[in-house]
Amino acid sequence: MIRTMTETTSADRQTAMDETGAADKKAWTTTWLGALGALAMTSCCILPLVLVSFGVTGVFIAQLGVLYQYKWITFALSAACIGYGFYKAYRPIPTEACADGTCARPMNRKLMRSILWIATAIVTVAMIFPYLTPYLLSY
Amino acid sequence: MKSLHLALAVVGTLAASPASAAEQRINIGVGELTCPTCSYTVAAAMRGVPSVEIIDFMEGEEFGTGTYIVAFDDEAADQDMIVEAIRATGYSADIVESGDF
Repeated sequence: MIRTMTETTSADRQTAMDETGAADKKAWTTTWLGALGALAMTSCCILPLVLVSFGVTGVFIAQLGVLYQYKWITFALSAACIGYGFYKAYRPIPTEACADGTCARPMNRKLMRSILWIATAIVTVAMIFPYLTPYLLSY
Repeated sequence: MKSLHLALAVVGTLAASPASAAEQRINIGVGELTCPTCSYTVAAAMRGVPSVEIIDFMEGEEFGTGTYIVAFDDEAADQDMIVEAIRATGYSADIVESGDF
């Protein structure tokens, strides 16, 4: 009986660990997608300006500008990914997960939070920058 | 000694002759300015050509078009160099007459 209970507990713990691992993977995937979305948002307007200022030329510069018309789609996807990432990164850890002294959440939340905050800052700048351009830059 | 005199005479003649460089002004019509910062990107590309200075930019009546008034030193650059600098970044560009915009 004791053996069965031990086996069951061990199996449950393994299942819980697998689920946590899958959830962590999902959280990281959305975090990186959010970061990627943030970079995509800079592609239309900030990135071409920076590249040309550093002497980089190429037909792709004008093509990047075309992405501006999709900015709301990019913004929605980035915001959704970042939002989900924040939910995962700031969600309180259940007390049961740490009951045995070893936390069942080995995820590096500090790194995840940093990435999410940086991505948020980039998305914000990318959204505001086009409207501020006439005041910030001159011909 | 004779050659020294000759050299000094040449240098003196060159120094006395008026500079042939002159500021030129042209209007360049640009298309495909589909984003708010595109006009600044084009301006940055033009500034990559020596002596180019952007005097003004006017948005065109059609969406995505605009005209730059550009000044440059004709000894350091020519209008083709400026137009090519814009085209190299993928934007369409042409010299326009003053009354065309």
